[in-house]
Amino acid sequence: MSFTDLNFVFRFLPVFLLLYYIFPVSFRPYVLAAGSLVFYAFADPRCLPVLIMMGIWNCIMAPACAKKDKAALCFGVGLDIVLLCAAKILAATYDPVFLPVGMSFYTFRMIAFLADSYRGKIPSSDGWGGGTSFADALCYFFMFPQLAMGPIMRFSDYRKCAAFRTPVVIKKSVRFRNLIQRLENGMTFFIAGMAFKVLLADHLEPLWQSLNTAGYESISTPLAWLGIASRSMQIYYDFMGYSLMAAGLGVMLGFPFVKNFDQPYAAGSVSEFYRRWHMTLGSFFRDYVYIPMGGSRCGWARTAANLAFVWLLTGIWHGITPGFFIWSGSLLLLILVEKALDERGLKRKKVIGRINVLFFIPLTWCAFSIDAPGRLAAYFLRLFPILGDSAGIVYRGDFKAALEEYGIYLFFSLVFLFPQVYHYFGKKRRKPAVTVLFIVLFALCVISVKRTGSNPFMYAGF
Amino acid sequence: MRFGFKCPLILAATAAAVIYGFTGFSFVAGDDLSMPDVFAVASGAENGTAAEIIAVAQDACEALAEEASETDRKLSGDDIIIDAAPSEETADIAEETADTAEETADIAEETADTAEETADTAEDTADTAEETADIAEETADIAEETADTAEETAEAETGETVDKEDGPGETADKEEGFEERADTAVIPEEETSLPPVQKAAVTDEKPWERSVVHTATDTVEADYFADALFIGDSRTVGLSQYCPELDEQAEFYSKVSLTVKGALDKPFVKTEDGRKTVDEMLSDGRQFGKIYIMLGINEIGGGSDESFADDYSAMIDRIREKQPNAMIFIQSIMHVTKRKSDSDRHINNPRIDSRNAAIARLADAEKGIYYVDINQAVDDGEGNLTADLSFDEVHLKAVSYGLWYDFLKTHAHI
Repeated sequence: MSFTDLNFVFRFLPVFLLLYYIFPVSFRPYVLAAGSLVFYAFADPRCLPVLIMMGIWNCIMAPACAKKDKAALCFGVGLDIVLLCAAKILAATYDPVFLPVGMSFYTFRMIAFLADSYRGKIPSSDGWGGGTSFADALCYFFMFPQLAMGPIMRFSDYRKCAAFRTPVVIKKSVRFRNLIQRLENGMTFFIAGMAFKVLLADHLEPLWQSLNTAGYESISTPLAWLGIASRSMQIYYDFMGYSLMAAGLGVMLGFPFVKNFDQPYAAGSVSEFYRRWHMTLGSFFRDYVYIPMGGSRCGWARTAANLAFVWLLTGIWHGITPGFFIWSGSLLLLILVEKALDERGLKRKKVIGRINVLFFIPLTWCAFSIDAPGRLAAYFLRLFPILGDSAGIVYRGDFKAALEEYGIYLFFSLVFLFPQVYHYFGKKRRKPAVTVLFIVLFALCVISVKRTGSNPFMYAGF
Repeated sequence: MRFGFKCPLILAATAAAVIYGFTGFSFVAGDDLSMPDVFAVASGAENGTAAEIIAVAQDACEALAEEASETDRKLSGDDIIIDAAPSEETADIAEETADTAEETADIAEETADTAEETADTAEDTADTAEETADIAEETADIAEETADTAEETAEAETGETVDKEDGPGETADKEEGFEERADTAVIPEEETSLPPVQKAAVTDEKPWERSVVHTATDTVEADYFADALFIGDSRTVGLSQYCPELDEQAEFYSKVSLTVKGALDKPFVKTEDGRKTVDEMLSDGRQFGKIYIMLGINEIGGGSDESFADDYSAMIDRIREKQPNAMIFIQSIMHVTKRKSDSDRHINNPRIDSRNAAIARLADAEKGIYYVDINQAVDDGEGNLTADLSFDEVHLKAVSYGLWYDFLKTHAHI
């Protein structure tokens, strides 16, 4: 069951929210954990045991980790990593069904939890269990807003959940108003995310599919460029939309807003781009891999090696296919070049950074999207026809036809890349006119999903 | 009232949730091919499959029985011009053949029963289906036997007849027929359970063999299509885009996801005076010499073969009314690849085959309506679209459209 599934939006979610807020505060973690398992059972019933077993395993290991037991930490985290890698390898070599839905994401939350326990960041008075209960840990692992595709929230944010604390304000009407405000806020994010996903990303998808259908050797060069522009925006709105929906759901449940995207295309360099893109994955790698390995404090060579290792892991995390390795490898290269230029104090580094973001990043999405190196090469031949001739039959009018058909979606996709536009709507979201707009957008999303269905989220495959 | 202003989204969403709860938004038109929702899959979908199995199995036994009686009739009938002794032998063998065929029919009936049971016990579907598959395979084996025996008979007969110097033509024909039957029966090595039975049911009929005359020994030139019109869905759109030589000559009224029902009345043909329907274009526009149609894949998830053929027939009648002198070519719905066919509940080749059989019956040479089995041009030898020709398993790649065009050039009617 994905977030854009109408059965989720109109059946599961209202029923769940009602139950969640009817139960007294101390029961809510249990309600959330149980509801999440129901949610997961709809998505991937066969893998439910894997999720539960891993949840319990990490709950058992966490108290040991909290006692600064390095062996326990290594053993706990090691098993998580082995299981995740095994699933990834099986999925890559045999059949994608071997990778349970959301495993990449919930395993990372579990690893973060063990590491935080070890670092003493999980509040507890006597070892483990005082401040944090078994139910809390399971709830944190399972919570459905983040189960399928993140974001990889930290436990410290989980602790901030307003719905899990006895409210300070005793007055019922005030408490109720706070609750309504929370729901209303969450819904705004949810609808905005749904609109990005359903109205933009899903409507750009057929453009990319039409390139595949024709075969890359048979597309004109202008269309090839339009294709990667469209694909780049599609990937962005697909995952950004999802993240916004997940954050909105979290807000409805009382959690703080988890920021996963921060206008990446406005970034001035590739490394900044990836600090603003899928931020929770980036910060996970930073806090639990890059910095423990020495980060950028141990000299140039060591920094490069650390970066290479992180990007290798990022590639593996996305999937063990040539496409993802080419993707992460080229990003590593770009970042190293940027670092080198940085060292030299180049004046024009801002300009170069922008070119990297707006020109090279879209090219890397090409590798991200095209699995087979042969087909990737065919696409690049069309992007840069001076490199050689392709054997296909090209339909000359394809660029114009694509622009006619997808122009409107491309236009709005482009407009929302500008942070000013995005923030304008964020600020004015309480204004009646904007609220009406949100309701209209929601209706459009529903009609669109009802008519053609929604494509599965891309990041569900990782 | 003041409260309503504070939570407009909650109110709107709650209202929508209530409406969805009661109606499921059934007033918003859903696509025929839209994804089956979770609940449908959980409850009744398997029954549908079982019912399909029954239907197909029944078709299969009917076809086999018919075949058997035909063999019987042919072998013992008046067209045998040989000595008495071999004739008796032939009759014996024919009887045997008939028996075997009867057995086959029985087993096929069993298959149907098993399938019915399948429908009853939805949970056991998988297991029973496997059994069904086994039995189906047996059926196919026995059908093979039948065919073999028949072939033997034919061989015996032919041997004699050829010796007897007259009528080699007729017997040769017959032999060919048998060979073909053997061909259709020898498919069971596929892992999937359904295709063998279904193939037997569908290909045995081949109604177009009776009614289609459009065979040309030579390739026609491109200008043959100068007075041709192509009506079709995304696949025809692809043909117009990636076959420039044909596009220069012919007219294309094609649109992505066009259906038979909407073909004539949706305003999608671009003209100087805005968009017009095909119906309008055919009424006040030019007269075409040939009209090629390929439609059906977009509505394959809905309706029955009969209703589809009825709609198709109605469409052809309307075209014929406007274009009395055009030859109308019904192109078979193009197959999908094996992978797609094996994994899709709606869009699969057995279903495409049965739809094709239904529209092939509309062909009528006397009325200038022909059926062109375009699948021959792109077949992988097992009744699927060749995987290499397509990326998305449904549409041809740009470079593959030439095969379609070439096929039309060699299957023209002059």
